[in-house]
Amino acid sequence: MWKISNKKAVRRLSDRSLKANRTRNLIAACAVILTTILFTTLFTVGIGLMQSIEEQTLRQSGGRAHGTIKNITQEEYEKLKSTGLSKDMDANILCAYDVDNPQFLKRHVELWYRPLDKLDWYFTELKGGHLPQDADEIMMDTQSLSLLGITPKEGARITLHINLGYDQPYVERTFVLAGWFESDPVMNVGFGLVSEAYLEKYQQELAKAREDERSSVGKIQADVMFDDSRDIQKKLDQMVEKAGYSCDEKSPDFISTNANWAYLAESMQQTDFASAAGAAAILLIIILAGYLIIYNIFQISVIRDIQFYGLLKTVGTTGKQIKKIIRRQALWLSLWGIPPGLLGGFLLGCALLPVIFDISAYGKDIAVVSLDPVIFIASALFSLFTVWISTRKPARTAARVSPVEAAKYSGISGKRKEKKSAGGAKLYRMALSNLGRNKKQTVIVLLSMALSVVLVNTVFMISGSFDTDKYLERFVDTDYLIGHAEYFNSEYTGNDTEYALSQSMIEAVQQQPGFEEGGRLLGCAGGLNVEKSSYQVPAYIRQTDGEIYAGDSVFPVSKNLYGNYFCMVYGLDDLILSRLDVWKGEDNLEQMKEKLNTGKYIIASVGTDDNGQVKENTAMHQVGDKVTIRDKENQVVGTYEILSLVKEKFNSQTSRIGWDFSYYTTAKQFGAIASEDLLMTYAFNVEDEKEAAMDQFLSDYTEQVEPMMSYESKAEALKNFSDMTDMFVTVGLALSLTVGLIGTLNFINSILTGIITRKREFAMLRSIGMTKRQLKSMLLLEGVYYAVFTILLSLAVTVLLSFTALKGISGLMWFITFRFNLWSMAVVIPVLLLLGLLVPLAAERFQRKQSVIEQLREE
Amino acid sequence: MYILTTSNLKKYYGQGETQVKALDGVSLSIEEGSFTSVVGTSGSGKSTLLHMLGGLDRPTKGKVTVDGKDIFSLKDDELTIFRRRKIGFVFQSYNLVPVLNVYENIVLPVELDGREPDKDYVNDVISLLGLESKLYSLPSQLSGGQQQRVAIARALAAKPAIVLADEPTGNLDSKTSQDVLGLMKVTADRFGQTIVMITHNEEIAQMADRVIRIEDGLVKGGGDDVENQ
Repeated sequence: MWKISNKKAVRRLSDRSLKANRTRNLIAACAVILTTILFTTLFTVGIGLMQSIEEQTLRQSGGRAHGTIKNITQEEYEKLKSTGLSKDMDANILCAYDVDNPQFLKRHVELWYRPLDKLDWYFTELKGGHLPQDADEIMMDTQSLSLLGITPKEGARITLHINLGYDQPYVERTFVLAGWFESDPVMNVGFGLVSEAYLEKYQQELAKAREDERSSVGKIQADVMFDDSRDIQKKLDQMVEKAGYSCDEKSPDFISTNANWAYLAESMQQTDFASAAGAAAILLIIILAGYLIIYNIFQISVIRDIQFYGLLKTVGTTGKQIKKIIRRQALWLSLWGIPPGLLGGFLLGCALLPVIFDISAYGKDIAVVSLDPVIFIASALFSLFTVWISTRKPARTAARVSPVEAAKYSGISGKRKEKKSAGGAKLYRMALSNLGRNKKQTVIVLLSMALSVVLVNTVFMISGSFDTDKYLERFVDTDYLIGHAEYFNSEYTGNDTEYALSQSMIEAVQQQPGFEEGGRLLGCAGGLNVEKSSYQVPAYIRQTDGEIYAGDSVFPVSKNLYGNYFCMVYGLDDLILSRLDVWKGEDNLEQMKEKLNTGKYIIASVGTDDNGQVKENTAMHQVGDKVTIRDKENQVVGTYEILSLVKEKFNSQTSRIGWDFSYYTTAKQFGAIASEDLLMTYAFNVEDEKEAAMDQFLSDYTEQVEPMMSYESKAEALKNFSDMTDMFVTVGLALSLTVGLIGTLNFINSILTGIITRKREFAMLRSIGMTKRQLKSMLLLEGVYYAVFTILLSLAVTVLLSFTALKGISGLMWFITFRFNLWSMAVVIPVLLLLGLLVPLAAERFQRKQSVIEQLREE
Repeated sequence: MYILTTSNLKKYYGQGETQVKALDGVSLSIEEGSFTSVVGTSGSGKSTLLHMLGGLDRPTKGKVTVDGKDIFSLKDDELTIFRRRKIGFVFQSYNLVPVLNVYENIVLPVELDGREPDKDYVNDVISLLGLESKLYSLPSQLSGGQQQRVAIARALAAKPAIVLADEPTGNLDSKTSQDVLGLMKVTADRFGQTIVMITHNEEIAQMADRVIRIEDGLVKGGGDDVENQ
């Protein structure tokens, strides 16, 4: 019986009354726009970050292909391709294993043939010139060209000294530059790409190289694309087997395959909990901000039009139909608000993305703005959801209106029976009571404004709590640290002197003006090991199946072939020795030196967490334990008593590779264990006013004199720190500002509707003798009360948050030392007061201008 | 044949000392096709009675039967639907939907019900009420008398079982009041419509077939003969 088609009438009512509510629509559409902007910005930045990092991972892995089939012949390639198991496949041929021109001492350059239509698989994009066609034509990356001293120009001649593999003669070959492409900044590998004609011309040379089993030169490296990136290795294996070959290394038909590690689940889905929680928190704040305003707008408008809904009820509109009327209006407003919001948010996101990347380890150049439709779909859906939950309650209010009650409804529930005050009708009292007329509405406006104030304050409180000292302490110990470039890439093992710091650089530094003091860190792993039988395993160290586990590690401590534990030993000059952070045992420097130099004592280190707290279960020894160290030939180097335990300073006092067993002794005593040439780093301090000059010196020196050397400075760390702070403040302020705008809009809407709906009341007040001036004062007072209450509310919430949630955050981020401050309030207070004065003034003026239209509407 | 009956209808507001007995046991029967007026002073309970008759408000106690249906046994939305099919309202303040034009206002209850208006019938009503030239006007452009005529047309559009009029001439001058009332009577006769009208104006009330008096929530005259004796 109830299944009836009444859409037309509902639609008409909805659309007409929508048109009649221009002011509300404008404000509601603005609110939807702002809310959508927030969502879209969040998704643009979030998805942009994810995709940029994904792209970056793919670049680091060298290509987009899902997997590679290695070292195959043309016949094998054809067979594999004919299995039909791949979506796409290409045949690359390595033409030279290494290009060995002296300019490429620090750069690995390979010569490849790649199918020209698959270049985008390798992130290669022709930047100038043309693709190689003739046998002597080549295409090369710009950085390699610049190392060769060649300006990218078609027709330039390039002579390359190419290495065709093991035991093969070096060949000098001159090419003609056809085109060039941008080097990939993420890897220090250069590429020269040759044409198909080259393969033809040099087929004998390649065939010869192919004969060597150990070498890949001349063989096909087939990159494979599947439909999706799931189970790549399994698909590769299936392909090999279907083509009639084997995945078993021992089989003569073995074909080696490799899934692109960038697609492996672990590397691709690095969604750590903290970022997910952060994103969820921001989503909630946006929904809350959007809800507070959209709800208020609709609630106010429903209450204002309550008689209208009552009337609709009397003429036979059901509650359901009234809900539909309001829902439809909300949908229309969303249709107006969401598209501009999507655009605005996307643009804002595009602007913010590089700012965020700038401080990340990746650098802003890799920020890829994504046009993923998910961004827009998700933002639009979230906006719709926000509008939906925000209009639920107002729609219900309107639907529940009793036709009789509607006539009397004024939005005041009549619980209050009396007002006990004898102060008379003072303006400030009237204004205050006016705020209390609709407490819910007032509270929502206050909440929505306070939300942004609290956000601003939180942003500044957190950024103000970023602790420079804590941050620096972790990354730098002295003003400067110099070492081999590979040391800073965590590649220093001290097996030999390949990655050792040069003595000449130390000397050069010492001669610089302003040099104060310095100290060497010698370091050797080089097969040194802890004799298993001499090692007393502390009770807290986990042991299973003869393996021991340091800390919470899932990997056992690694052992050499004699079953002894690998270890690292450092030798320290006095400066570094004095900077050891002793946790237990001897801490007097002189005593330490004296005892260490006897050759009977050694210092062991223990791991620390992000906050510098000792992780006790990583202490492999206790003070007084005895340990015997052997070298790689299993000869005893010495037996030592543990003198003290020191807290590990990973960035300044280790090789930046985690060793479960690591020991410190003096530089002098180190000579007795390993070679004193194993110079890992040199740390030094410089007079403050000479730091700029030293920065310049080091930058020039590591570029021009000893390019394999590198350095880190306190100034650099400070800059990273302030970049990070700036980013946090920028992003935080952008969010707070938008939320603030929403709050202001809510405030404007409340004041404006407050004035419009009370027109008759104002006229009455005027008629009993209230002057225009007094009326204006009353309105201004109302505005000021809003501002004052917002300030009080924000203060209360901020203080509450500070001592609960924010303190918790400071526990999460190690470089935060929570400091309570409210100085941003000092900036916000005048702004709020100004808003409280200006909005009523403007609204009153606006209303006067609008009065004719609005009056018509009201009739 | 009674189209509308009430039995022992009570409506109390509030509790204890401040309790107001707006209706205190009203039993009435209205004959189909009749024109009844209900008179009483302000506060006598006549508006409350009309609200109860039209199902706009629920009674504290008692029953209202319209066209054989106990209306308060219905749920809110069912009641609304029953109302738009069976009861037409005319209010003192016209209560036209400001955003709809005259024609749209008139057919609104029918359309809300998902039906197509009976064009011939509606046109008949419109011409009888003299609204042909105003069909596309918005309510704000009409005079009070015109607005009330639109309201009457709207009340009739759904061919209800009964039309309830609450001080339909309360906002009109006496000349216009006469006209509007005359039109109401004419249309009721023409379409065989039952009308119950509330008024405090004795002169207007006398134009009806039957006059019921209400005082302090009780029927004091003109009620059902059976019950008054």
